[in-house]
Amino acid sequence: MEEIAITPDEESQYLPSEVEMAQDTMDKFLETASVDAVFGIPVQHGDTLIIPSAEILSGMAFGVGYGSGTGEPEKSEGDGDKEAAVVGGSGGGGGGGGRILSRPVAVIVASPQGVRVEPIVDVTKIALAALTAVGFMIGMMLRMMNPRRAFPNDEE
Amino acid sequence: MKILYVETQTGEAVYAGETSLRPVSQSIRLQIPGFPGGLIWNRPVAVRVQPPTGPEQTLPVRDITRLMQLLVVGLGLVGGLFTLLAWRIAKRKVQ
Repeated sequence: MEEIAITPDEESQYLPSEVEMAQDTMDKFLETASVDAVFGIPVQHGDTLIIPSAEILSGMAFGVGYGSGTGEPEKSEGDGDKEAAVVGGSGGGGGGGGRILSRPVAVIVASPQGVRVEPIVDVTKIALAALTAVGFMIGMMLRMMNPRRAFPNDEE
Repeated sequence: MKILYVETQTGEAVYAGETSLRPVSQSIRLQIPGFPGGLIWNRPVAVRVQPPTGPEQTLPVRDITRLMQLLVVGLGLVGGLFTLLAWRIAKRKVQ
């Protein structure tokens, strides 16, 4: 199969839909970097107004590709002296992926007594961090106690 | 050519009685030129409170979970390094 360079005409055949779609997705993605994404809709409860806030981490990537090629001219039996048709084709496509992670951080409470920020503590995340740290320390101690796997001496 | 963008944005005021609250957020955007995609980290920073009388106050929004995580991991690393150091000193004394 012979690879040929894609012409601008062929390129424009695929570019509008795929690139526009990718651009739209990118624009929507960039819109997430706003205050509205971080602070939620205020909730009124009697005299108290509550505004939830969250941390948002979003990431995405995508790609668009297109290509074309031609093959050896093929001649069928019934064609006789007719010139062989050139076999060729082209195509395009795209794909992407993304992820959004969101975590509540604090709640802003405005009451007649004043405005205060109430933090939201995720005990599970802290416990996981503590377990990781303890695991690191235990691993280090075990390595130090094991003479075969101990850290080398400074002189060595 | 910029790769990292840091922006601080202030939202529209929300009223609780006569007190106005303006949320402030920070977005950190990682975007490599020519690369279709990127990473955005949005976090709340503070709330600007304007009472009917008196000066404007800024209440920081602290991420206690993140602070605790960093503290615990930091203590673990420091503890591990301290243990290693103590062990080496003890070993040198024995030799």
